[in-house]
Amino acid sequence: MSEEVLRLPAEELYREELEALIAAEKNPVPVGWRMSPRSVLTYIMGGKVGGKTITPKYMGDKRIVEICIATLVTDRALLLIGEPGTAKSWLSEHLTAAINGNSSRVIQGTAGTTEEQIRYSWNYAMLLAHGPSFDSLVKSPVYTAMEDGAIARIEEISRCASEVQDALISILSEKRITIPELSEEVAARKGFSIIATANTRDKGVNEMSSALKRRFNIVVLPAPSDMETEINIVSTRVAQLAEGFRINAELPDRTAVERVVTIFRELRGGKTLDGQIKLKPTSGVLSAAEAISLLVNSMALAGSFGSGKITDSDLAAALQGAVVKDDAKDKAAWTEYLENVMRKRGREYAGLYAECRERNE
Amino acid sequence: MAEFYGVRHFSPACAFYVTELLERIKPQLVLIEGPSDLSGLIAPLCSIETCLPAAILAYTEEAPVRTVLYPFAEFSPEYRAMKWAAENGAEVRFCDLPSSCILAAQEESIPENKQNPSGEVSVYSRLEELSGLDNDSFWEYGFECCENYPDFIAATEEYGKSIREFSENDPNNTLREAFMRRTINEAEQSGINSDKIAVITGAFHTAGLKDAPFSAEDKAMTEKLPSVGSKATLMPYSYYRLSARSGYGAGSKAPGYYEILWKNRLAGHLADSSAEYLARLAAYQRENGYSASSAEVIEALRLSETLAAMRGGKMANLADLRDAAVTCLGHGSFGEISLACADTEIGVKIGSLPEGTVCTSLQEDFTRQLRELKLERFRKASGEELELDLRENLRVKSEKSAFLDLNRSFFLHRLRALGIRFGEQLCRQQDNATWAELWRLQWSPETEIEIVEASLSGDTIAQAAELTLGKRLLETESLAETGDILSEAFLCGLSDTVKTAVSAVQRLAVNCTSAADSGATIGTLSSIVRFGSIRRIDTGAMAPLMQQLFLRFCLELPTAAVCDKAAAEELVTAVSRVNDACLSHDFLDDDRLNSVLYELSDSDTANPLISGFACAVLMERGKISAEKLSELISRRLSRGTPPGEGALWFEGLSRKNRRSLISRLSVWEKLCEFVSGLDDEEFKPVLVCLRRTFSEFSPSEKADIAENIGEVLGIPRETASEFVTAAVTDEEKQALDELDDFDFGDI
Repeated sequence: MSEEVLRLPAEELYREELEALIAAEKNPVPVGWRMSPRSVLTYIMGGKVGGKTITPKYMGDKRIVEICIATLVTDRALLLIGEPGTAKSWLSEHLTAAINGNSSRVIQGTAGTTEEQIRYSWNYAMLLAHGPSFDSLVKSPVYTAMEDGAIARIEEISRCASEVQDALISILSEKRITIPELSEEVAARKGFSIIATANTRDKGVNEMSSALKRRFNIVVLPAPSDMETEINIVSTRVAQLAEGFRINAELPDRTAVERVVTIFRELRGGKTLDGQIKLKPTSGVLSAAEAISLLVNSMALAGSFGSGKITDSDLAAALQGAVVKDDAKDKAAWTEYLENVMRKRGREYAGLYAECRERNE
Repeated sequence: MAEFYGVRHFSPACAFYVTELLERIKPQLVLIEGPSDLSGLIAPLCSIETCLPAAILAYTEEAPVRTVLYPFAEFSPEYRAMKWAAENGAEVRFCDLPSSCILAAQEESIPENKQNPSGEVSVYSRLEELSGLDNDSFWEYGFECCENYPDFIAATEEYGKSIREFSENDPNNTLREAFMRRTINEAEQSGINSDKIAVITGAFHTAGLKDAPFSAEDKAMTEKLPSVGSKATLMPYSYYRLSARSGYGAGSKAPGYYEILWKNRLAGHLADSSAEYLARLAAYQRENGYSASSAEVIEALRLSETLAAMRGGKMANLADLRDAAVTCLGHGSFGEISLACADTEIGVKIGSLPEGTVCTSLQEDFTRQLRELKLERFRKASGEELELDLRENLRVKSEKSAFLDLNRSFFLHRLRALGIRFGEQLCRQQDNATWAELWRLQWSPETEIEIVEASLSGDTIAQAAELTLGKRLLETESLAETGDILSEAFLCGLSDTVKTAVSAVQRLAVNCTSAADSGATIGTLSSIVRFGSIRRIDTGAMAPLMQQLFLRFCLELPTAAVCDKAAAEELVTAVSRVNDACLSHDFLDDDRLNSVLYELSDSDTANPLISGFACAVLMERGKISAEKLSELISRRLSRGTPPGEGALWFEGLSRKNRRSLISRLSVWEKLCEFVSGLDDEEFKPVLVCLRRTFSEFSPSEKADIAENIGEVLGIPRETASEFVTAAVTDEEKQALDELDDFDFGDI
């Protein structure tokens, strides 16, 4: 079956690694967990267990993952915050895969998410036929997680309307759901917790109430910390995607990737890589994920309409689109970047500079 | 054999157990790792009036001044040992190389990295590899939370041994240990029972001292030590400076936190330290208007304990506490609690010393510089003027005297930057030559006090000035102010600060949306560049910075120009400064400015004053055609434009190159037409504006204008001139007075 499935859940993909870790467990395992906090850390950050190599799932600060795991040990809920494309959902999926062996208890937060989706709803056919009973109850992922003493995930929590967010408050503080229709109460078993993710760019869409925030330990996930990591991430993913889409163009060479990543990192960080010049940030996110799609687009352009090799002109067009998103402000920032930074980079960048400048006029 | 005890500097646990150790062995003599020639300073340091942190400072007598510092805090094991000795009547001495020798070694430019020899660096990274913990965490988990005397002593000994085993000893350390062995040997020879000698050194050295007896080799090595004339003093120290000096031994990263550990350990409830740390953060947050609930503190405490447990620690260490605080109190961002962290981890404590014990090196440096710069005769209460010629004096031989005046200028500017009132710069009247300065020097007792106050910032005047300006740079967020600091650093001849300031200006320039500020900064930078090499500081970095600011200015100006009268005045000044800069430096893009000004001169939305001024600049540069100018004048002074605006525009136009304006008859024709076309109500505001405009013209210019107007109206030039220059009659005066009540609105 795995051949036909577009995307396997983490616990299926890395089943062998998880089993090796469980088999080699030496440290005490918290109630409701499948392995000790240290093994979870090894699973996420990579390492070696009993002759088996564990691949790193998250490339970044080990300390951040330690804080996440420690939070879940203390039965607190965890809120991962970060720019789009900083592996929030990725990390939450792998944490639940390692801790519970089940990463599928997910609620996707949207503007249309209702309170029932957080708590429970009814199977109306059953309800009408048999009246209210546990059988006619449709349990939400949070409900089942409470029953099983496991971790539920809520994606993009800040996209939910505030009444839906508020439904979580009582769940997180009382650790129980009341079902007034049945005069029953379901108490969470040990091990229950919630991992939520939220996007910093969505701040203000549905600002989380401080009452809810207080019930979470908040961990901010940063963008890839160093250039080398980001270039690696970008070129690996571009190669994977290009293969999948069967794009008829050469892969971008290292210089092209390096340039895009350099420009993105500099604009995102608000300063040049050597820290000498501060820059005005743009409104776009310019995450690693965006660098990947930019390069794939340039490849598609070059493959379909060009020579099959990415030229400065293709790159400039894609950059213009990625950087200048919002009216004059972005344009001014981009002009300043071109004039103050790229122009002074010398001959290597001369071609790209000329193309970008022309497009930005 | 003597009792050896290896410590880690600024470790509260070591400080606690050193007292216990001394209490147990009751030595007659305590030897401490410290400069052996400065044992005399131990008594004042242990005096009851002394409040720590304080430092022993040794410095060379001759310029260039080099210094070596030995800071102590309440929880320094060395200080506790001294204190014990002082209270229990034991003799106490320093046993390391004399400070004069260390200063001499600095002079020979032997890399003086005694605090952090390369061997130790590698051993710490090895430690990190093995334990997965950084050096500080390893120490805090393993030692700082230990509450058992024998365990602790055994563990530190093992620690010192292992560190030594895995690191190479550098020659500097070999020499120091040879000297310490010699001192110990001498003490033993002097008749004190060797069991009654306690030797307190860094744990790294203990192993080297304990297992190696004093040898002939040591004797040969320490026979002839280099030495340099030096002096030493005690000085008050601050936690801030303690934390700013990184590196093993010389400072402590978080003195405030270590003090919490120390106090709680003394009180017998070490485990409360974590809670105290977090509670203090929360208290700071509340005091400063942020919310921080007890629930959050409790959660942070739980999280920090789990984090410690995950890494194998018994008690949360500083890193755990801080990370937990960021997660729970800071809601994920360090920025939210960074100030609270600085306040709790570092603190603002400043030591104090009994009167008479301080002779700061800054005072010495001041006297020495007065002597060297031949300024001693100005050290008197009556003021005297001093004229400086900053150019190189080619008639003298030595470089020192060739640049005497320049160095004097640096010195006086630095004093001014430090807030030490000694010299006051006067304006030179006749020209603004960059090579000349006029000062008035006056000495007062306040000067001396101000020097002592400034001594907390540094050990020499140059260093203190550098630190003070650096601090101001960190504090300010305003571009114009940063520009001023840059120019001050330039005047002080502090090239490093100039560099820092240049990058600060660069940093702020990016977010500066005020064209007035960036214009002012361009002006400041331009005047620095125009100094050229006379101050012997490289101004190369300024050009790209000016280009950047210039670009920013040009991009912001059109938007900024839509503003009220007050802002317009500022902008006119800015445009004029940028224009001057543009004329004096080729590296600024003239065309870009011209096109922006052209756009402004033609814009109906920009403030008319700026439009007029832009037009005047273009006229001066010859970048506007006669037709265009005449078109603009007609439009601005036509019936369609509100009269107040027209008059304001004219005011802007006449701010520059009046002569060429006067010589254009067409301008005056248009103006006459404009004025005569106004009705009474419209005339009043225009009159106010025009009167203000013409008040800045000189009498001869006024006469010429009158002549022009006379020609336009067909009046003989003499009559016109007479009419303009005649005294104001009572009737006119009354009319003018009435105008005083005129509501200016937004003109």
